[in-house]
Amino acid sequence: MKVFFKIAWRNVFRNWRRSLLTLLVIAVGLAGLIFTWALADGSAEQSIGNYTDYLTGHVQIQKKGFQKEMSIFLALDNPREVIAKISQDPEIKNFTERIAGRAFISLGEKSAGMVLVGVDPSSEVRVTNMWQAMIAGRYLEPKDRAAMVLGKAMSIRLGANLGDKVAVITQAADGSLGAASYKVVGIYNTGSGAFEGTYAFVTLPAARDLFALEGRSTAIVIKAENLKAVSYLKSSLQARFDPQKVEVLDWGQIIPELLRSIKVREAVANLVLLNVFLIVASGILNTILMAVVERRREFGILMALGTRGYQIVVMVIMESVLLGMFGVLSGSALGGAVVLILDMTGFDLSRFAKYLGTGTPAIPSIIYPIITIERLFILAAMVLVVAVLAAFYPAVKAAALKPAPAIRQMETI
Amino acid sequence: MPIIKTENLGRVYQTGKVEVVALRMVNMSVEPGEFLAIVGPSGSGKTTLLNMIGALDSPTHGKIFFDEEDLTKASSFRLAEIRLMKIGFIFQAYNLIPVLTAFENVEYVMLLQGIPERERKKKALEALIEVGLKTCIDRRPGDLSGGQQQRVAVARAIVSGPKIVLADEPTANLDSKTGAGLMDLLLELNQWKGITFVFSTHDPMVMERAKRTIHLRDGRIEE
Repeated sequence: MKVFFKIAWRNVFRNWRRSLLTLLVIAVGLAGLIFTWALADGSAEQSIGNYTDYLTGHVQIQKKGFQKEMSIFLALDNPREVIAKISQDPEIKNFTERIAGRAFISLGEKSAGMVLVGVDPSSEVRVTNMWQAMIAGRYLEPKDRAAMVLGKAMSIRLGANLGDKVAVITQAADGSLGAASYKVVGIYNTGSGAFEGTYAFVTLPAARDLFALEGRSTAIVIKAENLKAVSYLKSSLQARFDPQKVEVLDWGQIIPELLRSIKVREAVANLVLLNVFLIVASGILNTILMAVVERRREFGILMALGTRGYQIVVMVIMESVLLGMFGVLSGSALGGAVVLILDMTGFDLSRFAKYLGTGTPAIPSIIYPIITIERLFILAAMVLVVAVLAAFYPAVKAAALKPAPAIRQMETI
Repeated sequence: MPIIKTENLGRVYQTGKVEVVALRMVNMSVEPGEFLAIVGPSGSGKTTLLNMIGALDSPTHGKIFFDEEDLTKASSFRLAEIRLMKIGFIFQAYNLIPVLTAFENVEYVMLLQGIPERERKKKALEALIEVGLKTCIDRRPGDLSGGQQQRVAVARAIVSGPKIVLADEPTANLDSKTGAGLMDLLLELNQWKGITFVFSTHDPMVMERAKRTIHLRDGRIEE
């Protein structure tokens, strides 16, 4: 086997220009693969981060059915009991209580439907970072009883400015009509019109008064230690509650449209990956096929000397794998370097915002690509598999040559 | 008992719609220790006949027996084994493996045969010394002259002790002096080591040295 490796190794360097060209195809292709995957991963993680950081948290505990109905009648009966069961969990970084319910908001003659969210500002700021998205005024404070934070889009729709009093009407949990007025103390901007036009925030006691939910809440919002811990945390929490009464939901269930958007982006990235793989495969196939055609006389000689067909196959595939390995090394270095640089500077898509729909929490303008060693290994292994597969056809064709016609170069591949 | 025996051997090549008959009803045999020349003009079928008896190509008619084994019934795997263990080849264009050194070229066949490293290296060196190439063992074929390359090919053909060495116009690409030197070397190996040689040629100098000749014309043996 050593001699076949020696022949394959020397053949790689024999026509170094062609080998270099193939190596470049593989290296640039792999760097492209690494970059594409890193961009998809980075954008997905940022999108998830944006949504979970602004609003949903990583996991929520709700009464069964609330997520689907968003009905105030499906509030948790005893949130204190729920908190007691989770407060010591080491996988939980922070948690907060919330009330969310549908309501009408009006200012003067203008009105709109919305989702009113009651938050506990002191614990909310440790779970979400909406307080950092303020563009005017301030975020809520624990002592606030009649203060509201509005989204930029909603403030424009209502014509509301800081200091204006807005009226809110809703169905309360006791069957009465809940009504209250709040002073606009802050306006936030997330970059997503849909988001800003939907959610308005008041303090938890104010929301409890409005919805007649004394001592109750509609969700416990949890921030996990990190995104990877979410799946485990969700199942671990669910095990502590009767699933017929209490649901533990992860961010993908709370905002399924984001999950769909990420899946679509993943599918697009996979298509790009497939195309690049095809280019890499055809590059390798071309080189190896050319090399085999050019050397069919040599294969004839090797066979005349008694070399078996499978040994010829091994030799040709070794050559391709060697090319693939050189390509993987240089491509990993190139792709890794590009990703590392962009991880620091960010990949700015803002100038394409109009076409790509970037600049929202779901699709950020500046993407910070992420690559993991695991991803690198997967891509490297795939390129090597492609190298073997692409070489297989020329290798088998070479092994099927008949020695005499091959030596006289009468046989074609 | 002959090493090689052919019975009504025939070979037809198909080139598009045209059939070219390269060999017709060839009956011949090669006995151990022979120094046999197959002679004839270009296109007479010499190389085709050598390819058939060397298990490099298969006939369209007739039979070939190598050590009484019918080659026309052997699988390609078995044919490769016969070539590896029993036949040495010397080609007109030397046909060395270009990425291997002279020494590695000679060693290659023994590697395939599974001969232990120490024995392999000893035999390869001895063979190269025998053909007068002691100083060129680390050179690749591209760095050797035509005569030197052909000597490496001779060393490669004889090193593993084959039953027969087949040489296809071995002097055709060499000048007359180098060619004569090569033929003297082959004759010496035949006389002193008892190696059986069959070679094709149309070179009178080679024919002179042959102990027996078979004349081919238009794919037939001339009586």
